[in-house]
Amino acid sequence: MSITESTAKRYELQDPDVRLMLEVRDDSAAAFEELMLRYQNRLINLMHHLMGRRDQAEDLAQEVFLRVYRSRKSYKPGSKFSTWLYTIANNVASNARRSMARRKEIQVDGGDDAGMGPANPLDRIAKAASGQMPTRVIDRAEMGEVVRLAMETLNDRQRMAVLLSKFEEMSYADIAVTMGMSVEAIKSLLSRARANLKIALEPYLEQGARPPSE
Amino acid sequence: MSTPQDNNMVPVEDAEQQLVAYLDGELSEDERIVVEARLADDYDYRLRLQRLERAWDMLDSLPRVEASDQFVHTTVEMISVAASQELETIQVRQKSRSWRIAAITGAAAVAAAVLGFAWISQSASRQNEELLTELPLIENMDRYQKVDEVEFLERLRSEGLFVSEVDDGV
Repeated sequence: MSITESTAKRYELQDPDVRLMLEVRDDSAAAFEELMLRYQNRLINLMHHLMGRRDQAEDLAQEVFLRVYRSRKSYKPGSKFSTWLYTIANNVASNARRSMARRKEIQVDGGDDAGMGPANPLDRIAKAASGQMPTRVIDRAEMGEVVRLAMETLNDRQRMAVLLSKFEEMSYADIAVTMGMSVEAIKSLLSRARANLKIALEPYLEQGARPPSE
Repeated sequence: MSTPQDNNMVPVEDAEQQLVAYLDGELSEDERIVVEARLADDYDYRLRLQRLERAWDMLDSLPRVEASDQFVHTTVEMISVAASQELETIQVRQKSRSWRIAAITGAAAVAAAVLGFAWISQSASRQNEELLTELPLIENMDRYQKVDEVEFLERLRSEGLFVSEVDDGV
C-alpha cells in the first residue's frame, strides 16, 4: 500500500519517534541510539512474554533493531513509529517460532521447556500453586509464574494481541495494522484471549487473590 | 442467573466481546450506552466484567525484564557490522559500475573510429568520382582558359570539334 505525502506529513508532525526515525533515515546515529533506548526494554519484554526465554528475547530485539536499521532508507511514515516497529517485531517473532517449530520437529522427543512439568499449561498453573491452600494469598513471584503460565494457554496471535493491548496500550486499529488483521478480527481475538485468561486464572479470581501491589 | 433470552440482548459470545471492547474503550457511544444499561440491570453481566477486569489486572504481575548492560553495546556492534557490509556492497557496486562505464566508453571509441573511417573513405571516393567526371575539363583547362566566351565554345561543340573528348569523358 502506497503512503501518501499528506499521511507521511501527518505522522511526522504527530509522532516524535517518527521524526527520530526520519533522522535515522538520514544516517543519524544519535537518533538511532535514542530510539533504541526508548524501545529496548519494551521490545525485550514483548519478546520475553511471546517466546518465554530471556536470552532469546534479547537476540530477537536485536534482530528487530537490525531490521529497522536496514530498512531505514526506504522508511516512509504510514503509521505511528511504534506500530511500524511492532509490525517488524511480529514478523521476527513469527520467523523465530517457525524455526523453533522446525527444530522441535527434528528432536526425537520434542520435550517441553527444560522439564517444566506437565505439558498442559492449566495443569502447570495448578502445579505452580504448589498444592497450597487456594485461599492463601500467593506472593508476587508466584503470581507472576501463574500468570505466565496462563499466558501460555493463549495461542501466538492471542498472546501478541494481549501484550500489545495491555503493555503497549495500543488501540484495536493499531494492533490490526501490526498483525495484518482487520479491526473486527482483533476485537474477536482479544475477547477470546481475555476469556481464556479468565478461565486460566479462575481459581485466583474466585478467591480474590490479587497480586500484591508494587 | 440471567441468560440472554431477550431479543435485545446479544448472544453470549458477542456479549463477551462487547464487555472486552468496553473495558478497552473501543465501543462507540451508542454501544457503550447499551453495555452500561445492561451492566446496571444484570448482576451476572457485572460479575463477568469484574472477572475479566481482574484477570486483566493480574497481567501486571508478569515479570518485567530490563535490557542487559551489554545490550546496547552488542546491538551497536551488530549495526556497525551491517553498516560495513552495506558499504562493501556499495563499493563493489560502484566498482562494477566504473568497469561498465570504461567498457561503454571503449566501445563508443571503437564505434566512433569505425564510423569516422567509413565516412572518410566514403567522402574520399566521392572526391575521386568528381575528379573522374571532370577529367576532360581538367585536361583541357589550359585551352579553355584561352577562350573568353562560352558561346564560342558552344559553337565549336556544335560543329563536332570536341567529339573525341566527350566520348573519352563518358
